[in-house]
Amino acid sequence: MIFNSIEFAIFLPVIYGLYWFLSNKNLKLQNLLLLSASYFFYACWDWRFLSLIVFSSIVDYIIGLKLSITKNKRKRKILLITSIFVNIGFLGFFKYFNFFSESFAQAFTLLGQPFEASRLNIILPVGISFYTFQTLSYTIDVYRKKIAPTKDIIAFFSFVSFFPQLVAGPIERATNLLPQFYKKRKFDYLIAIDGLKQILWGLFKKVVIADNCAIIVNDIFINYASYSGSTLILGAIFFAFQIYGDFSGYSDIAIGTARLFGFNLMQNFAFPYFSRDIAEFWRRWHISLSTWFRDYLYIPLGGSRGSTNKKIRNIFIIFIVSGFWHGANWTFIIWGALNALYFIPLLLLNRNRANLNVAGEGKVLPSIRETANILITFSLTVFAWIFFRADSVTHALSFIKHLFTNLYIEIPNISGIGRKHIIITCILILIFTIIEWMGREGKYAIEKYSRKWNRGQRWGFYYFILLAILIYCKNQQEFIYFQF
Amino acid sequence: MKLLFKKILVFIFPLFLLVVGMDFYLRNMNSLYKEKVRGLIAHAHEIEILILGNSHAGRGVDPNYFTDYTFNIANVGQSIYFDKELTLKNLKYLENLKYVFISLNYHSLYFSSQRGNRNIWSYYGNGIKYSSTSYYKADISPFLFGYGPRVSFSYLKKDILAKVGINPDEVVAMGTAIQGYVALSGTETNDFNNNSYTDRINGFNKLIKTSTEKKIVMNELNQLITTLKERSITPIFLSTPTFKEYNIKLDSNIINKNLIDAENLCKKYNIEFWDYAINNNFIENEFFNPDHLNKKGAERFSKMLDERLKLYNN
Repeated sequence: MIFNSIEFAIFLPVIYGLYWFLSNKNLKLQNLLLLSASYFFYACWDWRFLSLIVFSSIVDYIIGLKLSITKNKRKRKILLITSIFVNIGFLGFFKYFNFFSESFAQAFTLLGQPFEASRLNIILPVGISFYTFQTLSYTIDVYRKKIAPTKDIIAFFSFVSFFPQLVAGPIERATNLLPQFYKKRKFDYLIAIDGLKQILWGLFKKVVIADNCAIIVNDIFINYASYSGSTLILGAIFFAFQIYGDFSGYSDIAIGTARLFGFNLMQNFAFPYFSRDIAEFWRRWHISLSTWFRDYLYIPLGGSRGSTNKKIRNIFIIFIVSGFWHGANWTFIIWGALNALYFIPLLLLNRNRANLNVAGEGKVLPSIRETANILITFSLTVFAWIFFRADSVTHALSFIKHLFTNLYIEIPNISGIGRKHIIITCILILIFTIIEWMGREGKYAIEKYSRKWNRGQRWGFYYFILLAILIYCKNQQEFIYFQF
Repeated sequence: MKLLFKKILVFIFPLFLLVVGMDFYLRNMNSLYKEKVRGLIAHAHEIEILILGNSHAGRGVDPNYFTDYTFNIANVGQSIYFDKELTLKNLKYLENLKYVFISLNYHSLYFSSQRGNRNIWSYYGNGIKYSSTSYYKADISPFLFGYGPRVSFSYLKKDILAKVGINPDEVVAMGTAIQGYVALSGTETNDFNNNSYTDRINGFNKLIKTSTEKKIVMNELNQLITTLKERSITPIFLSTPTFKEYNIKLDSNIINKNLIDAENLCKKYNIEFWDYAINNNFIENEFFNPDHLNKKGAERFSKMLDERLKLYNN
């Protein structure tokens, strides 16, 4: 069941009604309903993999309880390692087995020892990278005594499988989300309206921006050899908007849905394409993952303390691991390494925290310097996205090679798509960018500024968004991040 | 809570009206599918020759130039499955049917399910369902799940423009299809260049190379031919002309494979294949685009078929 489907449009109001009308007076019943709804939501993809979530939840629930009664440091460490082993073990097997198997085989072959890789026909369970990290954060935080282990099994299982963010995040911390399952949630009209607005905006990003770009991007990346360099640049830029619209759209729908049920999830995207340097970009892109790696990997490695070499090493580790988290392919590793290369000069020059506020804060337009920095950062990001989108490193390199040939300005004629579609997509991206820019000081683009409007203007705007969603809803594509 | 539900209902009401209104319009809208079925049923007793196939035959064979009463049931992107279902569904009414032309084009043997949403669009017109397509959503709302809002609005726009006299030819009005035939007029000269040929052929080649349906199509063809023969109706394989410069760009391996398949089928069922695809006799102004004959081309081609059929009869 995906968010932009009729099934979800039926599922959500039904669960919402049951949640507030039938189980409103009983917190346990509310949590149980959310848990059942979440398992049903997940089972709609593949019920067999539900057992993985249940197993991970049982393991971490028991380990959490054991950690609370174990004082012995060594035993506590063994418990933590067990949790990491089980969770990362599942992730490693389902996501990385074939990659490692093939990479070893290639390495042996290169060393003159031909070796046949054993490849298993493994299906990647949807959302495994997300809920694994979420449940791991619980065990690590209990181990670090940042959070008390929960005895409420329903609350814990609901925390691990909370359906709005189960399959593509935001990756919530136990410290933020778990306590919300203990407290009685009260219906709040304004929060519900805010949630609906965020869902609407998320759908617009996904259906109108991402899915429209996807049609063009898919063709350009497949048939890149027959297109001019300028078309390939357009393809890479469209992919930047596709992945942003797709992933941040999903996050907006997830956050908005959670708000309908009285939950506050963390912000996952904060207008990353208005960043003035790469460090700022990474503070604004996939925030829940970046901060996860910061807290559970980068800081334990020493963070930005220690010698220059150590700092550089830590940056490379975090970015490469982050790349590898996205998928078992060298393209993601190179994408991570490239971002590390972009980041390191800022770290060495101590400029990585130079831009902590929003670009053009309090102003209508950014300064010329800010504009230039935004464009440079965006260009670097777009270049890195080529590796992210390509099927293999060879594909990426070949795409880049073609990028510098036949550079002339034209509206490409893409088979089966037509120039009109490309022009309309460009106009939609422009409108989208303007709306995002105007709302960049909010948690999501249309959070604040529509408040200043009267009802007619507001509703007119919402109808415009809804109509655009309706018009483009036939292009339905899966969310990119489901594959991670 | 009540306030929220009230506001949502008020907000959604105009959209609800829009969906209901559009659904009403779409369910009553005329289409080439409806036109053809309506014509077929109305003239079932007269029909002696039936033309099946996709748009190549749909636009390229004009039944009005045949001596015997001919009806063209071929349609855009129509697969052999739909050819078969349409024929068999109406066979009981087609008492005088003698010949059925089954189109075998470059890609005909490679698709059973129709491309895009055509399994659903054709269903709205002729009521034929494709086995593996789900129709429950399409039945609920053609606007939301059948045509989709974009296509629906585009139909509505064309209809409104036609009513005020702008581009009325783009709308399938009642009685548009004469003996199931609607001609393409003129020549799209912009389509006659190497890029256009390659674009079109790449689309077909992609379909052929990724096809997993050939076995299914062969079975469907088998069912159709067997049933026709049981009723003493003569099936004839047919391919329509395509432009000579376009033909050069076609994949010769695929053409050869198609010819072998057609030959095997002809031997198996003892039927003829009237292959005009690469005869290169038709000139640019007889085509609408490189692989579709226009009104003029269809006239000449249909007369050729009629002559050949007369000889065949003798």
